[in-house]
Amino acid sequence: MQSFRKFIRGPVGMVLLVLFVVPFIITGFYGYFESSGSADVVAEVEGVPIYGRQVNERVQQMRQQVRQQSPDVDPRLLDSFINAEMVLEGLISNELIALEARRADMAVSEDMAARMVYEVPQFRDENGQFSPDMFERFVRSQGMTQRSFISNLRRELVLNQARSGIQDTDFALPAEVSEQRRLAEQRRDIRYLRKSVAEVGAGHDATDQEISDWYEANQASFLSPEALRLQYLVVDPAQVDDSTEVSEEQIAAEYEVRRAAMEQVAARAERRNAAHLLVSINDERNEAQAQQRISSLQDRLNMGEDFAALAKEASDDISTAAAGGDLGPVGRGDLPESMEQALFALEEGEVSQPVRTDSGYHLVKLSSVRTRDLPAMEDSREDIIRDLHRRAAEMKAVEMADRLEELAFEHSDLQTPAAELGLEIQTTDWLTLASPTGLLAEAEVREAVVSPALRDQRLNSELIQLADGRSLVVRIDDIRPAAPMPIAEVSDRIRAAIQREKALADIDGLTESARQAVAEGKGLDALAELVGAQVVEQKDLQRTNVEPSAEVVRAAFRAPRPAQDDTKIDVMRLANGDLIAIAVVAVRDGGVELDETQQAMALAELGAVEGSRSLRHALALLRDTSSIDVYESRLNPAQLD
Amino acid sequence: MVDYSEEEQVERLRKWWDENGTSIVVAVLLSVAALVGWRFWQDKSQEKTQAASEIYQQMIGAMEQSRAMAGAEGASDAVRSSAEQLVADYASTSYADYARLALASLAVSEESYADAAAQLREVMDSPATPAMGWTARARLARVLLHSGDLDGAKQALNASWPESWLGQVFELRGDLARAQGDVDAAREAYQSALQALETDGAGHRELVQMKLDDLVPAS
Repeated sequence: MQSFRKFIRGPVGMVLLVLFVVPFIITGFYGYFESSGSADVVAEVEGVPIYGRQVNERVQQMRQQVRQQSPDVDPRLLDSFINAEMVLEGLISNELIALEARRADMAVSEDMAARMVYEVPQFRDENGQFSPDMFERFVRSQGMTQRSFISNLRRELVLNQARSGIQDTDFALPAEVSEQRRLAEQRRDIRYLRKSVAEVGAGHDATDQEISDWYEANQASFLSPEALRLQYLVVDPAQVDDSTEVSEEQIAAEYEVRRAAMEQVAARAERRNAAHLLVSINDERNEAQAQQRISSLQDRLNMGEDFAALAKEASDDISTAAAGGDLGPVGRGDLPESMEQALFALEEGEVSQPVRTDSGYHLVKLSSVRTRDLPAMEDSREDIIRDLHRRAAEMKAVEMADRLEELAFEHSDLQTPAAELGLEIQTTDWLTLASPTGLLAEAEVREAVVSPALRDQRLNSELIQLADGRSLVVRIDDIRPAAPMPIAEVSDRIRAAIQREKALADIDGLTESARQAVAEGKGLDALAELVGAQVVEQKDLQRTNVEPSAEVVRAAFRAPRPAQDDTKIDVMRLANGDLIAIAVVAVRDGGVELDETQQAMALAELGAVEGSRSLRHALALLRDTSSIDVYESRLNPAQLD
Repeated sequence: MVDYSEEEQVERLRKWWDENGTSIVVAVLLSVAALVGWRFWQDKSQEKTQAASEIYQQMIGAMEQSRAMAGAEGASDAVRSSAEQLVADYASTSYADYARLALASLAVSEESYADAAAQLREVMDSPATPAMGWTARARLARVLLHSGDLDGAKQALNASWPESWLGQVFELRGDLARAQGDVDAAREAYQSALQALETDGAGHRELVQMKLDDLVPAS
């Protein structure tokens, strides 16, 4: 064991931290140890449930992480990128790996997990000693207790053992590296010509007659979309007058409520500075002997011996004995059940009766209770007044919104409701559903304005509550129907379209004759003359090039290697209609000699790729051979915000 | 119902005991022994698993380290000694299989392809889980292909693979055919690989496409 500790203390300790703390944060395990209702189960892997809450928390964590790394990221992009389905997939994969580990009988004992915690550099103080305090703080910051932390750690370690055993044991072979480099780093010299549609089109013109014929024939594509002008009344909590008087009695009552709540929280989060003395039961000492020894130690304490000195002398817990058995600050959930009960029943300075745990018998001492001072009324007065004002304003806003809903229903326009509530009718610009902006950018508003009640009868909408807290009622003031745009406004567009059409017809013809010329064995230069284009030479083309165009590059690399005295010519059309004729002149395989370090790096890189492929295959097999139920409908994205 | 006197009852009991006593005692003893043995064996195997788990944890730690600092001598020695210990002393646990995979990887890095193949074959022949068996088999085929044992590679590839490995297996069959000089068969295998890799989002499709393009006939 000694060598294990020494080993782990090295730079590997850091790596270990990353190894288990990071996946820890990644897994989003909260649901595992608290029971959730079965309605929250979104998937089951061989009967093991995954809870919706786990998924949602994980989604939030991941978005948070991305936002921290790149604050400028577009939130909508982020939301669509990191979604519940994707996170659920990841959690299912984790469950599958856990399944594989169970089938392979892999296990990590509580003891081993605890020892690893002891060795983590982050939990050590300046003297290099394990600091229960620092550990405690970390655990709390993750919203866990020490006990739940350890059991999660065990699970994560086993997962990592199974994953690493498949992924990290893969390798790349030198031949694989050189084959990949030979192909991927290949360079080709090409000669090509391009006849572009734009260039040919510029040589054409369109007569007024052609334009007006086109306009007549394609009326439907030259309509300006229907536009709506909306009227609305809005209740905005931020704008509601909150100048209500707040009385001293109200403040005092509110303070009492808060104080009671804080006291409750403080009691639950109470920390006790504790110390203990352990008489362990082991190969040399049986239950009865241990009991006898603990009683004799208790007697010595009763006769006035110092607890710390006694712990130092007699405690079997090596990690705390030197410090007089000091456990540091302890909260509920940190100690074994029986020790916790004893500790929280003690008065300051008292020592408990012997307590039995898995390790043996303990005497527990309560050194001191850490209490938190609660803020006095004067300190929180400002807060309270502000909150009371805000609450009053919110209530008023809710009342106004309710009243608005009633009035909007009773009346067929917004005049009376506006007058009664003292609100002003707002009117929008012309908005279109085709490219919704302003008020129409809100999905609820769009939904409302297409209903017959609003559209045909011009009634008021129901109350619409926006995500930002505002409530509003909307009606359609006016509709501007779709109408043909005047020909003058669109003639440029039509001219360009006609030019393009003519150019495409030309190039179709040129393509035909070029193909024929190639079949007759004509060379690229003859082709160039035929279609009226320049032959361009491009040396050292690589697969990643995007010039002359990604399509051309792809074609150049799909073409066969040139045979002697016979370069094959490929005639092709690009997606934009351009005509291309291309001939591969030379091919040079990639893969210049690498020095030893470079070769090692190339092997390691490809080895890592192979490793993740291994894991992917194993996961796919597990997925195909396990029973997995996903309840897609319970993955409610609305809960995510 | 017949009434028996007390003596008669005792007599009957004794007779019964004489007839069946031995077998009952033996049965009881055997079941106790079995239970104790089973419990003992279970404890032992659990202890064994725990010990193997600790050694294995050191091994993957050392692997991590040797990856972080490529070619760190000490780290790969640490991997080796842990792995060898697992194979020698904990052969009954699945950790020994994973250790063999690690030893194979080390052997490859030292270009001892025969050793690598031997380790992988061990795992392939009696894997702890199906996933490990197929993983070892695919790696074995790659090693044999690379070291020029084309018949061996063909044999390793010749199995009823699960669907998830098909893309890779077709690719390897293509590589094999090309090494044997059968360009047509290689092209066909790469085509199948591309189809099987359809759903595989990773960049491997690209490599297979490149291999296929490289074999385009001249006319």
